[in-house]
This record gives sequence, structure tokens and C-alpha cells, in this order.
Amino acid sequence: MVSAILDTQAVSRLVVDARRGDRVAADRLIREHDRWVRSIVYAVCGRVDLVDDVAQQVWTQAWERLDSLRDPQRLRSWLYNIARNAAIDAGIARKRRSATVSLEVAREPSDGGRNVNPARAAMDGEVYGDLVDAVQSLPALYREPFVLRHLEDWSYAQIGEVLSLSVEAVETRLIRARRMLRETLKGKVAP
Amino acid sequence: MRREQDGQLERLISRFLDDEATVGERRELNARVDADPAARLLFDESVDLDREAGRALRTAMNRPLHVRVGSPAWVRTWGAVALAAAAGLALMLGISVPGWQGRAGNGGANQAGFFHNPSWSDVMKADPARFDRPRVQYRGRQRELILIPSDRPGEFMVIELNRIRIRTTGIQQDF
Repeated sequence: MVSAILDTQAVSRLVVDARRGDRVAADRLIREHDRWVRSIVYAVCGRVDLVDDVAQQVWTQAWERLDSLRDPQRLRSWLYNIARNAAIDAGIARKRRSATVSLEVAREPSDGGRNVNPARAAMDGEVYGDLVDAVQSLPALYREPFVLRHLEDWSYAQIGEVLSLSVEAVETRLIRARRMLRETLKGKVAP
Repeated sequence: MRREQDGQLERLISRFLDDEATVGERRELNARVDADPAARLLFDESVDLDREAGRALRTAMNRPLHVRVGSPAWVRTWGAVALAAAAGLALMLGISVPGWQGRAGNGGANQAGFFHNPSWSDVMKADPARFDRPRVQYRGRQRELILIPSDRPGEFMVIELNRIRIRTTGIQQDF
């Protein structure tokens, strides 16, 4: 389902209402923004199994600190910072708990594989792994816009708004991300 | 000079992949790809890689594996308003999506036609009867899908509507 893209005034009204304790406004804000928040978490930490937990932490922190959001129209970039920091912290904590971080573990769903995505099962495993690894190996400043572009189908302006970048900067980072992926994956991805 | 040209080509390809290329940039890209085999190779590789990387990411996150059409920027910009307008227009025109007669129609004889995308005006002139208001019956469904083929074979825009308020539309043919 494609949800309506809220304009900034509508977002501001929702934030103000949510601050006053309006649960309906709070729920709507979550529904409108949760998906891309999860995309950011995945872009930063690269682990699908961490996304649910980290997203929950993000929203918990967001509600606790909502009063610190001085300009409601900057909600997206404010949420991005919370999500990014939470994802980084989760990745660091995970590394401390494990001697090594296995990318194989990262690819498996946290439910033990009961909910197997048929599309994923149908994809060539090796190509899939190479692609995901290559994207995760990109430097964060290139990886984040690239992941947002593909997971959210956002324009340069929308990506720039969240990442606090100019349109030109977003364009440049996407060009470089693609160049680096081509170099990394030369010959591995068949048309 | 060569490096500048390569850089410009990369930029054009990247903007094209992101649906940010202007009409002039698309023309320039087409001209360069047509004139230079190396440019064509880079373009094809870039398109394939970007498509597969996108699929891998969406698969990893259990997102729908949608396909991208040439210029959906208006969809992003206008969101639900454009979708509702497109749905209303499609219903008014009575567009019969070729090939989707699998269940109620002729068993898929036109399935190959679905991915063949001649200009709609040419098709309508050649076979006007095909664009009579489709007779498709459905009841009790809360969603409707409208499929519009893109310029590229095998690609189509899927418009999914969730809040259809039309109660009296009677369509007696699956499409």
C-alpha cells in the first residue's frame, strides 16, 4: 500500500499533537516514518536481525525526547540522527558480544527461517550474498543514500532532507557508490 | 578530456537510474550510448547492477520486489492524489490490460501481449474494440490493481488502491 506523503505542515501538526499526548497522532507518525527508519537502521548496521529491536529503541527514544525537537519540520533529520546513533550502538554492542560477526548469521531471519521469503529463496544465493556484502562494504556516506534510494525510492531532494545534504551531494554520493559497486562486483553479477 | 566525458557519462547514467534525468539529459545519454559501444556496455552493466542490488536489498528487508518504470517522479511527488487520479482515468477509459485474461478469458492467449508495449494510441487505432469498457466482475475486494506497461519490456507500474469508494462499478471480466 502506498501511503500519502505528509507535507511538512501536517507533520508539524502531528508532532505538536503527539507532544500533548495524542496517541492517534503518535501512532500516525510512527506509521508514516517507521519504514524508512528501518531502512536507515539496516543501512547503518547491515544486519536484518537487529532492525526490529533497534527500530523499537528508536521510537522509545523519540518519544522520550520529543520535546527536544525544536522545529517539527526537521522531524525527519532528527529521527535520522536517533536511528543512526541507535544502529551504530547496536552494532558495537553486537560486536562486543560476539568474537566475530558472521555475515551468514546476518542474512538469516531472526525467526530461525520459519518465515522464508520465497523471493529470497529463489534468488541465486551467491549473487545475493555478493551484492549485499558489496553494499555493506561501502563507506557509510555512500551506503546510506544508496540504501535509501533503493529501499524507499526517494528522490535526491527527499534523501537530502533526511541526511541533511544538498541535492548535488546526494547525486555525487550515489555516483560514487555505483562506481565502487561496479569495481567490487566486476564480472560477478550476470545480466 | 576523456575522463571528463567518462565522468559525465557516469553522471547521466546515475541520474537516469534515479529517475532524476531531464529530457535533455536522457537525449544526451541515448546519443552517447548509441554512438559508443563502450558507453553502451557501461550503461547496460550499470542498469543490471543497480537493478540486482536493489532487489538484493529489498529481499534482505522483505520488501516487495517492485520494478521501476521510466519516469515515475510524479508518483513520488503527488503520492495518493496522483494514484487516485490515475485510477479514475483508467476506469473512465476502460483500459483493458492486454494479457490478463487468464482466469475468465481466453486462457492467456494474449499473455505475450502484456509485455509488449506499443504506443497505446497505435493499439487503440488498430483495434478499437479492444478498449471497450472492460467487463470484469469482482465483489468484496478491498484492493484493486491497475497495471500500466512502461517503455521497457517486462516493466510495468502497479497502482494499488486501498480505499475504493466506488460501489456501483460493475466489471464483468477479469483483467
